[in-house]
Amino acid sequence: MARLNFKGGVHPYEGRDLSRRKAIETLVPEQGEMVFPLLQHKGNPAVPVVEIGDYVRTGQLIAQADGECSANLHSSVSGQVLAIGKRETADGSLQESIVIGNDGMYEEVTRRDDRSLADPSRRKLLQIIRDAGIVGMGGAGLPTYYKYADANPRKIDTVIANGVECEPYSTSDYRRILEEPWKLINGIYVALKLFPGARGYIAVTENNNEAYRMLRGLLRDDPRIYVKKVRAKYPIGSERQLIYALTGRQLNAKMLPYEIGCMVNNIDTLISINQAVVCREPLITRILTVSGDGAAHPGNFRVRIGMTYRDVLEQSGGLRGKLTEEDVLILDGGPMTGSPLKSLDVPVTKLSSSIVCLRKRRIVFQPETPCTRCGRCLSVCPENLAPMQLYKDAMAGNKPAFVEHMGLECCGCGCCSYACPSKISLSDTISRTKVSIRGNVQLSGDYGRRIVRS
Amino acid sequence: MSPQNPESIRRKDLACYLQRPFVRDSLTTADCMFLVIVALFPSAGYGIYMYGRLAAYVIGISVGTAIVCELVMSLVLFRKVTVLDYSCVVTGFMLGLILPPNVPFLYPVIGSAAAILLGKMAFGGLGRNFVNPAAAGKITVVILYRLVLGARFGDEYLTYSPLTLVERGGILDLRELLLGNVPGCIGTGSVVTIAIGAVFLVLTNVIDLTVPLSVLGSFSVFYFLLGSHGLNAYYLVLQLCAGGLLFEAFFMATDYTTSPMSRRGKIWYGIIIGVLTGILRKLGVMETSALLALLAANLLSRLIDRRTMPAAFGARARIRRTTVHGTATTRARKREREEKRNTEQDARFEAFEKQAATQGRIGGSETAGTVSEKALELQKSRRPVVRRTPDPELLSGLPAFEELEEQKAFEEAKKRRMEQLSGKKPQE
Repeated sequence: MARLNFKGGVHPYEGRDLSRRKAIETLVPEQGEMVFPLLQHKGNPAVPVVEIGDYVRTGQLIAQADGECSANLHSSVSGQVLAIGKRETADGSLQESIVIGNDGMYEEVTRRDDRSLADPSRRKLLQIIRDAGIVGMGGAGLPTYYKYADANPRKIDTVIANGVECEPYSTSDYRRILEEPWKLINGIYVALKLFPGARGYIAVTENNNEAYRMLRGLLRDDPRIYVKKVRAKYPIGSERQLIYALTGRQLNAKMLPYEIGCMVNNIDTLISINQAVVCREPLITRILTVSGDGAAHPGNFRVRIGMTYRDVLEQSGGLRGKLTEEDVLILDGGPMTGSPLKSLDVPVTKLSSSIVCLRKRRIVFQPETPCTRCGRCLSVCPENLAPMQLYKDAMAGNKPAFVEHMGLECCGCGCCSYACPSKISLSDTISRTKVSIRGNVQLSGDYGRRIVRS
Repeated sequence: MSPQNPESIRRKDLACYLQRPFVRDSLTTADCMFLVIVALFPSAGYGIYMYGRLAAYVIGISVGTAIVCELVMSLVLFRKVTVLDYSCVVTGFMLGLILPPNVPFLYPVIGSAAAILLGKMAFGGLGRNFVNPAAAGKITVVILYRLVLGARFGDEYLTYSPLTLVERGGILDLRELLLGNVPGCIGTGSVVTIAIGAVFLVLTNVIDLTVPLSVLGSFSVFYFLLGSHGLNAYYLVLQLCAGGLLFEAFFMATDYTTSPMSRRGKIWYGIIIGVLTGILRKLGVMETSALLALLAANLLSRLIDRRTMPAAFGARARIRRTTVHGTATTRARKREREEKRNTEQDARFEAFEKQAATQGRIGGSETAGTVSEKALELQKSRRPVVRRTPDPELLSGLPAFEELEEQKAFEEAKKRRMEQLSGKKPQE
């Protein structure tokens, strides 16, 4: 039984020193268009409730959740609704979005203050979370209301706050814990109120001593919340690996965490829950880390959703020296699970987590050589799969064999590609095949219970 | 569009900019092969020291033939040069080391050619073969010897080899065996140099010890139980160190392509080699026992691979059916042990913990609309991100005033925007 560890994993260059000492700074968008894609979460896109020409205020509801698995969308600026149509988003696709012209006034919507000194009931808490449009902010984007409403409170005995942040170059969660720990702790209290029989865990990596000492100091007398240090290996932040490391329970891709009594949330999500419950604020800001050796001043920035990536990057100091966009690989997310940004004029959404600028000259191009069956991909896979076998099935187009060899269990971490000495793009190919199989209900069967975006 | 310089086009489309992950481990296949070559140098050096120039010629011929064969066949079959991944050098080197030093020069050539052409290229190149090429080369030489000369391979020197000596009832000093002061093949004699090479490979993470330990362990168990001398450690060590078993266990059985990929598969593979070597030695096949065992295990390795694929993590996970009773406070009493351990470390982090007092706010707003000074400063100090440096050739073609006008327009727009921002300080 692995305690605080899991089998497999790699140790890529962490890159945290670039931005871990920079306090979070607030960025204000320039006056211009703010684009709000209607699908910033898993599930159904939200339905607009404003018309073109309406004047909206900061925090006003502009799109309503459509059904159970969907989330509300709120405006992060005040201004006129300019358009509702397809706009380019970070992954390169065109999506229905609401475009609001920022007038720079940031007038807030007046809300009836229905906060009382008494603790809200479970139903009221869920309603608040739903109204605030909170989604999983670790990048997954499952609407938090959907996640909580499904779980039976008598069956959940573990609530995990995922503060490990295993993606290289990302330090936003780290700074959050250092600067605003009580928001996180109160967010966990809210989650523990929803699941009264549960024990709370805050997970941080073992090299994150400052956060560990601070949280333990604050939570010394608390009987319900435990702060745990887990091994600093790459996909420790992946849900299944973290649950295994903290509780020893195993989870496969057909099951959801609430079925084994666990509820995992990113600390950003819990802080957003805290903001919603305490200040009744909807989810309209996000902390992004701008980092990498191509960024002039790496740091952590609080940005409003709807800002363009170009805006964020320029205000943070832009690219280093004389570098231009073509000299740098700009990634949305980290180098392990992020995707390259084809254009910088795409909006920041609730799911963006960092902008990493890597100088192309520094990225060593290693050509692909034939597989030598060395077995490194097997030894690093956190899901204990055989990536080489899955790659062969994927290249042969053999989808039933892919499913039979447990290809749909893949968590998409990229460890296999990282470790392969022949530089075969295992993870990319396997992910693409996974995506194409998920659409096929006959093949994927029970795997379709976990809703995935891509 | 402006003509982009060819270098930028090439860079843009490289796979390393398009496929995640965008960072990779720096170890390549060629690096692994090179490390194996380095690890074989001590054995080769000692062999040359013991046997003189002949040994060097044998190794050299075998490596040279390997490179030439690979070059020619890869160009013919695949139309590209694959010599640079050093795998042919490793094959040739290893084959040279497992041949005896006085073999006529024709035989390394034939063996090496067979190793590369039949043992590797015929299957499709690197990674596709299922027999160890060096073993295939040597077995070809052994068979040819028997067919052509009608004699057992290496008969001239084998009368003095440790295995046959002991079989006939002689006594051998273990120190001689460990140092390699005994007749045998070029590189397989000295335990010390093999150990150096093996330690080097393990420390650089090129091989892992599963297969070698499994081979040696299973052979030892077999020899203890069914060997002719019972639990005698001297005879066991003798058997282990002689006949090229150690060399094979550490360098040939750990070959990536022919050994199974999963850990369980590797253990089974090692057991097969160990037990078969034991059986063959008991039956009287002395020098080539390890080699034949290796080849037999190679034939089974794909089967082993298929049967020992690892079970996916969580494959047997089941839904928890327990219900939680009461609250978690009643289960909190186990914390006290942990607390005692941690109190002594508190002194070191006092200064840091004092900061915690200032961050006690639960409800600081994140979305407040007031625009702070710092945010305005950041706006003013923004550095525009340029798509690409303007092409000097193109610019020289434009008339000068067009460029100036564009620049002026940009400056105007920027000035206007700054004014707007600074003039729009919100009422507090």
